[in-house]
Amino acid sequence: MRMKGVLLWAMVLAPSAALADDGKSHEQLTAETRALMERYFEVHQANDFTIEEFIKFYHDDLKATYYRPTGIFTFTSAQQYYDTYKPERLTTFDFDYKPWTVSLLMLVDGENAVTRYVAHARTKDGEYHNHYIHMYKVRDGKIVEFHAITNPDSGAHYLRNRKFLTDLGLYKGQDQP
Amino acid sequence: MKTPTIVKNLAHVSLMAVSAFWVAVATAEASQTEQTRAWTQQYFERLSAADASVSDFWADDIVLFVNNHGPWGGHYGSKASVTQYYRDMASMFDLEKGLTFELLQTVVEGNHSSIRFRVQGQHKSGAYDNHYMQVYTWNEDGKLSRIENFYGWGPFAEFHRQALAKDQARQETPGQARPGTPGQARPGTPRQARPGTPRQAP
Repeated sequence: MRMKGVLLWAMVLAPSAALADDGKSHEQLTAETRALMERYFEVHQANDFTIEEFIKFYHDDLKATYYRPTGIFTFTSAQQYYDTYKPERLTTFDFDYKPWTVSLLMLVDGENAVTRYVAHARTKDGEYHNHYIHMYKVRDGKIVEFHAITNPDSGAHYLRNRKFLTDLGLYKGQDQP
Repeated sequence: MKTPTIVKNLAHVSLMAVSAFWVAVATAEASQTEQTRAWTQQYFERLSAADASVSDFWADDIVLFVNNHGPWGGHYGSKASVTQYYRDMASMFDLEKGLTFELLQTVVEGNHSSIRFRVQGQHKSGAYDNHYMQVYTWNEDGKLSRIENFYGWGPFAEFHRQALAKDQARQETPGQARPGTPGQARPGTPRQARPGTPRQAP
């Protein structure tokens, strides 16, 4: 009777028992990555995150790549990324106005994740609207690889590339609705 | 007081039924994800082979969103307009010299998937090496109801920069000036929208 019970439980639990190399199932890794990405997104939505809050999400071997109209930029440490990213945010945005995000799609698949969203905020020059897609790889519970493509017009405009884009004829003088 | 065996058995069976239900739900979700993964793989194989039958994967009411403010950016709201978009894109490349697609990352969950890939080849304006990320929404028939296409603008910006430099050089060289203003787009470059490119509001 006891053996029959054990067998029944084994049959019920078997589908979720496939384990990855590190002993965690795909479902476990997915759940952990999702929790990490949700916390990460929350912190990035805030204006006043600290270096400690920022860096704790990243692996020591971080490689963050941005595909921008001016070329591909790769940051190879969380500190280097923070040192570029934080001042850029501070000089660009009016932080009395809380940025907000719509159309968020977050997909998580083991230690891979993608977020696609539209961000609305206010810069020191005016309204800011931008489409983003970010793709992540996670290792040991931290982001180890990160790739980002943003709308090349409005994002680049507010990141001080307006003249460059205007010269190229790519800037039409209006923002993404 | 000893619990009667029948009560114990009923408790076991109830617990198993509840567990089995949730396992069934999780299994169905996992099954959907694996189905989407297979469709995504098949789709990428056809896309990377520049196989026209890739359109078999597009639903009749497919929407394509191209994320930029360039002439090709915006929403394409029908299978015909999406087909035209891809034809226009293909026409900008020298396909005989080959166009290689390298799949770098795949993320699949439920009826959505996303891929990151690199494309290398010969664009009519020069050597082309670019990174793409696309997000797919699949309907229950295994057709794409939405494609979101994001790609780096670095290579295109470089083409334009080279074109501007050439225009400037021509203007500065007596007898070589071309009609038109410096930096004006030439037909066929991605900066200039082709007349009749069908696009619809989302």
